[in-house]
Amino acid sequence: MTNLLDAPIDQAWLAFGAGLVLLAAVQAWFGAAFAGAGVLRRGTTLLLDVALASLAVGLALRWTRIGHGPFVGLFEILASNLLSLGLLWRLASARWAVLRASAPVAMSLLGVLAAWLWVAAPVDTHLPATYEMTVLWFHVGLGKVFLGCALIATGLAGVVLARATARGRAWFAAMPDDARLDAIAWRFMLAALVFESLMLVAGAVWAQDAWGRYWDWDPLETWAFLTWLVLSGAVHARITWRIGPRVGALLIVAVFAIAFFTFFGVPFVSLAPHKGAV
Amino acid sequence: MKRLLCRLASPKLTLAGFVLVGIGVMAGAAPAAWPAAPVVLPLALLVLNLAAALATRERLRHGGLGVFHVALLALLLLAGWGRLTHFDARVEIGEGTAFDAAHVMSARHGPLHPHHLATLQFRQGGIQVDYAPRLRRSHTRSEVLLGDGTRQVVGDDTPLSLGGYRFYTTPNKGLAVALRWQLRDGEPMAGLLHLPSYPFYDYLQENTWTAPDGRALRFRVQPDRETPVEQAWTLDPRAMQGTLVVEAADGRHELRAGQSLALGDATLRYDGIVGWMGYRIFYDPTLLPMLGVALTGVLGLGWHLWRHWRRPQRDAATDGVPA
Repeated sequence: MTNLLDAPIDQAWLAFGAGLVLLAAVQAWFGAAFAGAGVLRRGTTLLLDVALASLAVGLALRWTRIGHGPFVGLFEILASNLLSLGLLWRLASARWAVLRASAPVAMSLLGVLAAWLWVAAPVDTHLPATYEMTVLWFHVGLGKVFLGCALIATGLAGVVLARATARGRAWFAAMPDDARLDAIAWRFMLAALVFESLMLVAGAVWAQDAWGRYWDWDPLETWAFLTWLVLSGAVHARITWRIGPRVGALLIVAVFAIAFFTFFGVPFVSLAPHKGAV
Repeated sequence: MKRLLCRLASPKLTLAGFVLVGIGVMAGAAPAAWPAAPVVLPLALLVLNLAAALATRERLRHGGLGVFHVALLALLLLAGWGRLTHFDARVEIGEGTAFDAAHVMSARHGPLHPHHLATLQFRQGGIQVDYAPRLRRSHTRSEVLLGDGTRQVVGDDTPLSLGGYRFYTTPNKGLAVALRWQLRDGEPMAGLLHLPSYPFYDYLQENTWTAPDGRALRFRVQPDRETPVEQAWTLDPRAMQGTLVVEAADGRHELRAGQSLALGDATLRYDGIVGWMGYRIFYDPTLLPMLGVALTGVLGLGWHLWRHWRRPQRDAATDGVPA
């Protein structure tokens, strides 16, 4: 994100929002390190709220300027997901207080997106006619909820894994025990499975209308299917072998890593979602 | 028998099936010709595993979890039936010409496909494709005239649906040269010579044709207007004009629309430029049932999750997140 002064104003809003997300991640770790510093924890929330507002303004301005939503290029997909994932985590943590203490992990994951947004080329994109379909909104929206659920679960899994160290135990001492966190995290993973399944169904409907086939094993379809397979496998493995919180946490992190690669790695490699089918 | 069923229903077999499907997909066998053995065989194993699990484990048959697993089994079976009956092919149809099943290309079909493509009747009408600056394709409008005389505009997300087949417009479309060939004492023959996809191959608008008298002819079209690159425009082949360059054994000739060329005992007339549209033909009778079954299954899973989520195991430490 270079030459900000010459860039459209929406890029400045998005850069500002991404910067605040990074700041919120740092602040969250300070909040965890200095236990009892409620002011720091509240500061994280405030920073995230301002960051989300800034990202929303940036995306709205960009939408108005280029005439379509953030569906095509890597830059706009990163910005859009930074907003949606941040918003989902924020809403969930407002509803369930236990999630707030996992902010250092969740904010760090968002921070990766924010840092990536800073270095991604803010190229203006063209929306293909095949993207102008209502079902695409469902497909994308359901995907965001899926990744949001996985992010929340990964935040909790990260806490479980961090508590394998003495420092981690001290930083996250106020949170429920590992078994309880594990149970909560897997509820969110099951919700993730529901929303990923719906995302795949909506995607198949879109693909059928847009390109005359509901499934064609393009890179994104292949990786979305693999993500579903790994997530389903993880749910079954947990039931079959009654695995403990730490192994469960590792499974959650693995699923999130694959989902993250599917969302952001595959479009990066192939430059556009469903490249070739556009 | 029951012992065999129990073994077949093993959750460990489920996980093994997942791993094998994952390996099959990763191996890259699937993209070229799905269904491919590395994917289909593990999926078949999972079908057996799931069916056995439903038969032997009562818990899997009840509530939302039951709905999900039964729907998943039905989905896999429907997908299998779909592959047995499917049809997938490409066809190019020139403006003003009728669909002819004999011209279908790259056809792939299941062994149980009913094959009634040849009974379909429609004629290709006008074609328009919008382009944004820098040749970025936008909306496609392709008019078709159905057998009953009605007209329909298809394109983008709107296919032509006939007899269970769906015709989708594709990025593959282009220009065609309308030609008329007449021997001195013979009946005139009219037809279209399709040129390579336009504007993708705008620099290569040429093709060859062997006339009925065995004469080899090479044709090249030089449109009067260059392909606009930096501005928005609409491709409308009927509105295009250009010079047809004909290369025959006796030399090179240039024709404008309506002009003729004497070639021995025959006359070749250039009637002008028209367009052709490339369609993807798709047939799969399981599409709607699969959608219904998939949605039912996911709703079942959602119901299962909701019941657990609402379970009254609230704890002050978790602030109400059911655990």
